Parts: sequence; structure tokens; C-alpha cells
Amino acid sequence: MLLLFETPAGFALFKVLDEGKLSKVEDLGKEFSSPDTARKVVKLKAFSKFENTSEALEAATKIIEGSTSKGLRKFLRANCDGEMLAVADSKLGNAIKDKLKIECVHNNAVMELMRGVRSQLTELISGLATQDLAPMSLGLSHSLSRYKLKFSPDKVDTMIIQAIGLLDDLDKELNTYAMRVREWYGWHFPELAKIVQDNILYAKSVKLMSSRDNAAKLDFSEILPEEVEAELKEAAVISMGSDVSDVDLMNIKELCDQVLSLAEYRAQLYDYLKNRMNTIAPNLTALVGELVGARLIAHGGSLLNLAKQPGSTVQILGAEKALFRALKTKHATPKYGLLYHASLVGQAPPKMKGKMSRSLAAKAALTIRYDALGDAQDDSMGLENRLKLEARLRNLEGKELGRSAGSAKGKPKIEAYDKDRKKEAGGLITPAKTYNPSADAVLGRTPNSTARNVEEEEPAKEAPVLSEDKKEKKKKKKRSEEVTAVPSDRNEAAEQDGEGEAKKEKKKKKKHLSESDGVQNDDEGGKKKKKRKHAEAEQDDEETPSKKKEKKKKKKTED
Amino acid sequence: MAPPRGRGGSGGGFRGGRGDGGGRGRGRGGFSGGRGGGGRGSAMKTRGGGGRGRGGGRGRGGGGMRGGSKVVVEPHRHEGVFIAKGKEDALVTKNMVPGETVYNEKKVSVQNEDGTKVEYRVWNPFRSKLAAAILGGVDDVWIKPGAKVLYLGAASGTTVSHVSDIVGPTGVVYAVEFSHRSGRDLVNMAKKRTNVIPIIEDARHPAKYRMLVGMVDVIFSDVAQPDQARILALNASYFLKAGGHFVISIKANCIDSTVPAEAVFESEVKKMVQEQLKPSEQVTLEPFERDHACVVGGYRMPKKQKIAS
Amino acid sequence: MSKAPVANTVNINPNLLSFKPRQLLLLSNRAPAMKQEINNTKSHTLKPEQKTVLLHSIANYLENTGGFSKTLKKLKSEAKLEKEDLGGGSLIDLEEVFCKFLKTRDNTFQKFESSQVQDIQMNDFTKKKKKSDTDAINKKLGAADKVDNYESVEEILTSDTVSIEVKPKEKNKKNKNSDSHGQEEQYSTEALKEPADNVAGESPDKKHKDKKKKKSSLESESKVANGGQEPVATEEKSKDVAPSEGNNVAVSETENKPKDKKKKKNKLSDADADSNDNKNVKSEGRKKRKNIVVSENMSVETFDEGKSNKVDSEKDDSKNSKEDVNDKEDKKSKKRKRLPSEDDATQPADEKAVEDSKRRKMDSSEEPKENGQANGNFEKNGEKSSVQKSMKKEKNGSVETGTMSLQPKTVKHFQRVKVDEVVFSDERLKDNSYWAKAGAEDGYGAKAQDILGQVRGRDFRHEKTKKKRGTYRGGQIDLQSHSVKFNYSDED
Repeated sequence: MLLLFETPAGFALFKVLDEGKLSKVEDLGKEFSSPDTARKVVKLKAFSKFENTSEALEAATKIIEGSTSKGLRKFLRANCDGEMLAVADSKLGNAIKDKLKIECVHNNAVMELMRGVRSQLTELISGLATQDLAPMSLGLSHSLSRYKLKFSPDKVDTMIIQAIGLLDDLDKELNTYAMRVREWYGWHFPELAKIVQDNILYAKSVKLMSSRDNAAKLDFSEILPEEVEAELKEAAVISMGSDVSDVDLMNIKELCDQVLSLAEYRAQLYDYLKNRMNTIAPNLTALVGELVGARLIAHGGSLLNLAKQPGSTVQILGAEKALFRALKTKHATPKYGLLYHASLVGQAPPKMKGKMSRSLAAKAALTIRYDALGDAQDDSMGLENRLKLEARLRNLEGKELGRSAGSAKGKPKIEAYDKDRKKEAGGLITPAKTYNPSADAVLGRTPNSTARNVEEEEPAKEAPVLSEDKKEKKKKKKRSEEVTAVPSDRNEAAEQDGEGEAKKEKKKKKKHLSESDGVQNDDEGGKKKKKRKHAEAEQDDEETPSKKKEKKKKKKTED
Repeated sequence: MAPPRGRGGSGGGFRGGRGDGGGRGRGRGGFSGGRGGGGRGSAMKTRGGGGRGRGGGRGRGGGGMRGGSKVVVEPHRHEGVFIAKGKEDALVTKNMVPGETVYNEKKVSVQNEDGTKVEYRVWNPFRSKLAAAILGGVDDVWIKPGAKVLYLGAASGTTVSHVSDIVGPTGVVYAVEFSHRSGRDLVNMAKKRTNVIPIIEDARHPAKYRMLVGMVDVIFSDVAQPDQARILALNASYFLKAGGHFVISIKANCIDSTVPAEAVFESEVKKMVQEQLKPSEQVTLEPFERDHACVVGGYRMPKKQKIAS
Repeated sequence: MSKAPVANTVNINPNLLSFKPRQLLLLSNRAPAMKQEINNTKSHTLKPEQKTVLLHSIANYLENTGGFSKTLKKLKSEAKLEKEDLGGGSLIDLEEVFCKFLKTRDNTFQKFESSQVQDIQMNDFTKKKKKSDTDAINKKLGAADKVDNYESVEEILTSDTVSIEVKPKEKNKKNKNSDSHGQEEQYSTEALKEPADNVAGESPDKKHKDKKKKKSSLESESKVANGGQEPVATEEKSKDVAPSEGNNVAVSETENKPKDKKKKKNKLSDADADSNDNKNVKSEGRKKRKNIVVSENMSVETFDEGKSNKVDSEKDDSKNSKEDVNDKEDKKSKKRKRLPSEDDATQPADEKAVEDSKRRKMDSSEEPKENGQANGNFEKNGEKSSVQKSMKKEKNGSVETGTMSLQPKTVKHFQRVKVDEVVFSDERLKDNSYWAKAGAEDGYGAKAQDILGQVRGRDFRHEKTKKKRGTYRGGQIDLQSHSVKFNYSDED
């Protein structure tokens, strides 16, 4: 009787020397207690090695299913002639019987035999040592697991993380080299640097002409637009740069070559990244774009890690510094991080950016989870969400317009009271005019906090402006300032606050401001300016600095 | 917007639970050390989440032990297992992959006399039934350096990693797990540890992975199935050497939730006896688990030794 | 017949409280004035014989299937009805009752064989009478001495008749179901049949009485008290449930074997340990109760079906009567199921006792409502339905003989582990809790156990998740071994 034994190294066929022992199943175990006795029971008849891991994998998968692989069939056909074959799996035995007409047997005795053989495997198979078997077993198990888990190399997000990292590196390198080229060549032809702004074009031009003397003769039409070319040629003639030798020029040229090839490679890499992103996380790509999506994944460490984060985290990924600073100092936390660069947030009006960012983050978190853990390969979900967000954006904008448009009959629209709503600088709406006590004062008219430019604005004016501007979020400073006993201080503070508020569109502090309005300020202008700027600076951190300042300026001008 | 607390930190972005775990563990007692300079004692408290989160990623010292506190690592009665003694004790195993954690557990670094650094990972008994059994006081867990272990019910590999630490590079751990989700984590863990062989198969059919497994010394079973005694017996008949041992964690609820747990354990033990699996001891896994018990025994023990076992 | 039951019901009410074999009831009926109403010499004559049978069966019932508790409950439930009447009756009557019972039993057995139905009816009457008698007697007795007397009497009785009681018991059982009380009687009779012990009527009677008294307070208490009486009864041991059981036992003795099943059925109804109740019920509802049946009921009541029966009876007498027999589970599904399951799961009387107490409590709570209705219902429906029920119950009971389950329709849920077959090789294995482990106080898990030990289910999961964070430190880790070692070296 023959015994078929599968190992990670290959198939083994053992001949059972003494079949009588099979009848005593219990004692079989003892037979295999030592290698010598084991050899007396079975002997290795044939062994077929697996050539490589793929073959082993194939054979293993077939065995698991209970069917025969080609290698096994060949092996058995060659070596198993007319004898009974003992197998460990009855299903496999049936398959062998069907295909090869070999009688198979599977019973307790066979199982005991297998046990024994397994315990003495290395002894029975002379060419196989334990140390050989271990890595084979490991490799086979890993390939099997990958096969089982449908491990797809396409879906490895490590590629994305590496690619985006490389992209950033490349950008830096490219910039550095391009600067170097400019500097270097600037020794010879300084004006070119100002004429040709783009790095790539600069490198190309340098490469083309080497020395500026050749500039006049050459045709730069492929590289540069006409007027620039003309400028270049002009400047080449009157350039004040010194001469450089050919060797130097050659080196510069080589550097230019490097720059250009790097630029080309960067483009290629970007394409590759787009490709990968679409394969690995199609929905996320559809929602936020390749670059932002890749950065999010890289920031999270892996797609799966990112999927574990809630929407609020996704919203401020990338703004950790600002986030924790704000947390520590108990200020407002940033509204967007990496997501700021997503197109949906970019196309939103400045006031809506925060809202868009939040909605986008929520949807993004969903799509990330869907990509990481779901099975769909298309980007339908991402597109759907994107449409929803765009609709929301339109909605938000519409509301804004509605607000600023006023009511139908031309009267100012009555708005619901919202203490946190920042006052629209719409101009069509004027708040209720409150009596400004400062108007009473004859002496020492307080200069207006509004308008850095116009200090002499009436307190009355100031009051409305200030009241309008109260929307900004409270700053301890302002508040404390307002509360200080000294009127002048308060005034200053109020004015500063007012300015700050105006700039920052934070919570209204009408009461405070109106209070302070009465008080005079004498020379708050300067202080206010400073404080304003300070306040501005603080606020800017959380928001787009430019936008904020713009808004503030708008307010000021409006005032 | 409510910023996530305890998450994120400098570099590396947000680290999910890791930061939280580490941070909270430290922050409570007044975190000291482990975080670059900032926030000690009361100062930390005010910082709240931000501060906690930042230092969270680093795992130094045990949980109750503050980062940077001194601990002494002593060997446990079981080979390959250690105890980190400080103000509080913790069960630890020697990290086979220094610098890496499997499930964001704490690490303990110890400097030897000769200057080499040895790293240990803290073994949480609430996460691992084997640790719970060891702390519960089993006589012998049979998993020692150089042993070959067949681990049924490996899940994501958190306990498997510790078993791998114990058996060391000379031993082998065959980790069998049927679930694909957990299997992915298991395979990822096995990539780092070369003595773990991941097998994504049903433990009920040991014939399916007979190609990958050799004879083992110990079978550890944590499958939580009603027929786990049968599964254990079947796997033992395939792979467990004569005179080998088994450690099985029995969850009473999964076998029969209507009868008292003790009766379930007793019936399981009876079933095992019928299959040549001779139980030698039983210990409860309380308080770490509810209605669980761990049974250790031998397989096909030679007659004369049976009395001893 | 209807009238007789009516009359019986009126009279039996007080008697139902005490668990008494019909014979006893009959006997006791003679002494007190109220018993006169039940003057059914036939029944009286029957009773003694029936009683023995009944006692036998009751004893069996009590012993084997925890019918004691049921009967006790039943009796208790019935006891409420009969409370007021408990005052009457003279202890001394019990003896007479027994004598009568013996005589009647002999007669009745013959009769039964001839025509079951008639017998049943008669039994009903007699039982009721007996119950009342026995109840009265029990009440009066209250003391153990009587028990002795009764026991002797009952023993005689039980030895004599078996078969007779079987039938009536069955019927009784059915009837019992129909009537809360009536059922009890039936069951008691059945119970009598089942238990071989003779503890018999005396104790049941006493119990009945006691039970009745206690019904209001606590069924269990009554049981206990009854139990006190019973110690003499002996049989009760197994059925600790309460004296009712003892009573039942006594009764059952008389009618042991064949009536075991009945007893079980009775158990459903028995709830009241009070034979008196049974009697009352029977008198109310049952037409056909035979003396034996009555006594059976009393005993049975306390036992098995007592639970369900009581429940049933309490809930809807009419319903119970009919449905109980048919679908015991339907009605008192809760109780029934509890009972059957309880029964199944817990052979030992302890559990039954528990159940019984529960039942009793339920019964007691329900009884007030039910009793009034029950009586009326019994009168109307019980008689008819009781017969049917008893028949059905008989069948059911026979089917379920092995199970304590009250109702024939016990649902046997699948269980992988049979608790009964568990044998612990070591005492320490009986307790899987942390504190039972050696070295628990200073162990590493002591702190965790303080927290985790207090919670269950969802909260446990929550607390454990908190512990998983890795900040738990439990103190020193001791290196000792605290496991329970197995010693299989001898088994090999």
C-alpha cells in the first residue's frame, strides 16, 4: 500500500512495508516514536518537489478543494502502479480514483499512519531538513493566505502614500534646482531671470542658447511667447552679465537637463498617482480630487486608518498645529485643513467655506470608509455625494443672496434675530439707529474706531458700525477691554473691538459697543490700529488670512 | 467644531486609538515624562486633549506606570513570560520585533548591564485569554521558548503575537483564523514575525491545512464554538504529538447559555476525556472574562505519566 | 349532579383550603355542619378507599414530580376561598373521614371501574366533600398529632385503593384544571395515586388547612407550615415544597401508582397545597370528582399541576378547565411554561418549592380575583370541563409522566448540556466565580473583580472595554498556581 503525503516542499509517496501493523491502530503511534522504527513501517518511494511557490500554491489550492492538480496526477501516474493509495482526504481520494483509476483508502489506520509520518517527516524524507521545510511552509502559507484573502496588488495604498511623498519631494527638488539654475546663469545673463518667470521655460531657454550671444540668432518660438522672446533678445544684447567659459556653460546646461527631466518625471508621477488613486479610492477621488485624496490618505497613514477617523477629524486633518494651539488657548479651532484645497471648498464663497468644509468632510469620511472597506470598484457613490454637496453649496449661496436681497416690497428685510450671525456688509441693510450718547459730548469727541483711515468719524457713526460689527467671536481682550472701568480705556477697547469685529465678523457686541461709544477716545487711532492688527493676527490663524483681511477692510470701508 | 481630543499630535497625523490610550493612561495620574517637556502635572490637566494627544503615540512604561518610571523586569514562573515590577506589576513578553507594537500596547524598555536594550510588550489580560489564564494561576501553560504551537482562533493576532514572543525564533506558531477581516490583520502581523504561519481556514477541517502544519507540541484553542471539544480533538488527532498538551478556553455561553457555567465546563471536560484528551487542570478566567474557564491537559499521555499529570 | 357540586362548592370553599383527600373531606364533612351538605354517603363511603388511593397517588406525586409544590400552591389558592370555613371542622373528624374513606374507597373503586364518568362525578363530589372535610380537618388539626392519625388512616386507605384513585385523579386533574380548586382536587387525587407514600390525607388535609390559612400571607409559608406537619408524613421529603405535598403524599399513597400521572396533572393545579381548597374547588366545579379524585386533587394540587392549575384556575377557571387540559400552555403559558420548564429542569423539590412559592404568590394574588369567579365558574364549567380536563389531563399526564412538567404540553427546549447529568469531580469546580478561587483576595484581578463583578451584560462589556485600555494595574502578580487539578489517573 502506498501513502500519499503532502508537504510544503512537494508530494511524497511512501510505501507501507508492513501492512499487518495497520490492523493495530493504537499501536501504530508507538511505531513511529523513533526514526528507526518508523523506517521499518514506511519507506519513501517517490518525492516530487514543487518548482516554485506558484506551483506549490496551485497544488495547495487544489488539495484544499479536494481535487487533483496536474503535477499530482503526473506524479501519481508515474509512481503509483496498481497499489492501493492511502490518502488523508476522502474527497481527494475520490478525485484520484476518478481521474487516475487508482484505488484509494481513507480510514483510521491511515490517519494514524499520517500522524506517524508527520512526526518523523524529516527523518523519512532524507533530502528534507527542518530548516528547509520551515521557510517553504512559511512562504506557502503566505501565498495561500493572500490567495484566500483575494489580496490584490492594485489595492495597496502604500503606493499612494509613497507616490505623494515622492511628488512633494520632487517639487522641492525641482524648485531648488531651478533656483540654482537661475542663480548660476544669472551670473552670465541676469536679466533673463526677470524676463522668463517660469522655471521650466527658463531651463529650456538656457539649454537652447547656452551663451547669451547666441540668443539673437536662435529661435525661441517653441519655448517662449513672442514678446518675451523679443525681450530676451533685446536684453541679451545689453546684458550686463559677465562672460563664462564653455565648460561652465556646459555644466549649467547639464543642470538644466536635470531640471527638465525631473519636471518630466514629475508629470509622469502625477499621472501615475492619479491612476492609482482612481483604482484604490475611486469615490474619494471623485469627491475631493486626486491630490487632496492622496494627501489625506498619506496623512492618515493608510486608507484603513483614515477610514477609522470621524468626519470631524477628516475636516481638520492637516491643521493640527492650529488646532492644538486653539485648543490650548481656548480659541476657535480651524475650520479646514487639507480639505481647504478641495475644489468644492475652493469654489465656495469665503463665508461658506467653513460650512462647505464641514459638509465635505462628512461626505468624505463616508466615501473613505466605502472605499476602504467596501467592495465596489466604481465611483458612483463619490459622484453622488459630490452632486449633493454642490447642491448644498448652491443652496447656501442662495440663502445668502436672499438675505442680502431684502424683501419683495423694497423694505429692508426683517431678519430673525441671530446673535451669532455676522452682519452682512450688504449695505442695503442698515441696523436700527441707536442713540449714541457720545453725540452728547461736546468736548473730546472720540474718534471713530471704524475706518482706520477716518478717525474723525462720529461716534454715532461708530456706534452703528460697531454694533454691526459685533458679530465676531468674542475675544477676551475685547471683552475685558470693554468692561474696564475707565471710560477711555473702554472706549478704546470698544473701538478696537469694534474694529476687530468689523474685520472679523464675529459676534455682535452691540451693547458693549454702544456703551463704549459714549466714551471718548482721543487718540485711539493708533492704538486701535495696533490692537486691530493684533486682533486680526489672532483671528487670521484660524481663517484664511487674506480673506479675513479683505472682509475687514470691506467693513471698514463700508463704515 | 469640536476638535478631536486626544488625537493627533505632532507629525504622523492622528493616530486613532493609540494616542488616546497612551495619553489617557498618563494624563490621569499627571503625566510626567514621555512628552517633550511640556505639560507636567497640573499643567497637563489644563491642556486637556491637545496635550494628551501629542504624547500619546509614544508607548513607554506601563499604563499605570508613568512614562519614564523605573521598572524591573523579572521572569515569570512560566518560561518566556516576564513580569514588569514597579509600583504596579504588569505581565510582559519580550518583543521579537523591537520598536513595533501590534495593537498599540505599551512597551517597556530595559537596559541590560552590558548596555543592550531589551524591549518588552505589555500583555493585557483583558484582551487575551492566555494572559488571563496565566494571571489566574495555571500550573503550566506549556508554551515555552522553542515550542511549536497550533493556535486555533487566532483572530487579529493580538495574543498570537505574544505567543510568538514566547516561543521565540526557534519555535513556530501556526495561527488558524477563518474570518477574512481578522485574517488580513493576522497576515500583516505575520509579515513582521517570521515564526508565525497564518492559515486562513476553518479549524473544523484540519485536513485543509495539513500541508502547512507539522507536528506541534501544544494546541491553544480559543474558537468559542459549541463543538469546540470536537474541533480540538480533530486537530489533535492530526497534529498534536503524543504526549503533547492542549490549552482550551471555554466560553460557557456559547455552548449552552441556559445552564450554569460550571455545568458546561464539566460537560466539556467530560467530552474531552472521551477523546483521549486528558484534562489536568481548570482555572476560571474571572474577573477578566465572565463565565469563562481555561482547561489545560495532555493528549495521549503515556500511561506511567498519566498519574503525574 | 350539578346541584351537588353547587352545594359542594358552597360548602367546599372553606374546605378547599386544606388539602384533603376526598375521603377525609367526607369524613370531616360529617363532623362540621357544613359537611352535612355534602352528605353523600356514597361518597363518604367511597372516600376512605379513595383516600388511600388518593393518598398514595398524592404521595407519589409529591415525591416524584414535585407535585408537592404544585399542590401546595393549588391548595393555597384554594385556601383563600376556604379561609373562612377553615375555622370549622374538627380534627377528630378526620379519622372518621378516613374510615369513611376507606370504606367508600373500596366501593368507589368498583364503581370507578364500572363507570369512570360517574365515578368522576362522584369523586368530584366526594372530593369536594373530602376536601372540605380534610380541609376542615386540616385546619383543625394544625397540629402534628392529627397527622399521625391521619397518616395511619391514610395509609390504610392508600394501601387499599389504587386504581380507583387513578381514574378519579385523572378526572380530577382535568377538573382541576378547569377549576382552580377543582383541579386541585383532581390533582391531589392523582398525586395521591402517584406518590407511594402515605403521608396521605392527613397531612394534606392539614396542609390544606394550613395552606388556606396561609394563602393570604404567603403560600410558601403555608407550605412550610404544612411541611412541618408533614414530617411525619415522610414522603414529603422529596417534595419539600410544603406540607401540601405531604398531604398530597399522604393522599397519594392511597392511590399511588396509576395516579402518578394524574398527580402530575394535579400538580399543575395543585398550586394549593390545601386539600381544602381542592375540595372546595371540586365541589364547585366538579361533578364527577370521585372521592379519590377529590383527595387526589388535594394532593395533586399541591404538586405538579398545582402550579399550572392554580394559575389556570386563578386566571380563568373556565378557560383553564378547558384549555388547561388541552393547552395547558396556552393559558398560563407563563406560569405553565415556567412550571413545566421548572419542573423539567428541577426535579428536586427545592425548585418546585420555589416554583410553588412563586405560583402561590401568583396564585394568591390571583386567587382573590379568581376565587370568586372560580367558584362560579367551577360550578358552571368545572363540572363539564373538569371531566374533560381530567380526561385530557390524564392523557397528558401519562405522557409526561417522567417530567415534572405540569402540563402535558411542556416545551422541551434544546439543551446541549443536561444539568442533571453533571457530576463534579471536585467541589471547587462547582463555583466559577473569582472569589471562590484560591488566592483571590490578593490576586491580580481583585481590583477588577470589584468593579466587574457588580455588573452584567452590557455594562460588563462596557467596563471591560474600559479595562482593555491597558491602564489597569492590579497590584502584585503572584506566581502561585490556583487551578483545580483533575485526577484522572484512575480512569485511564
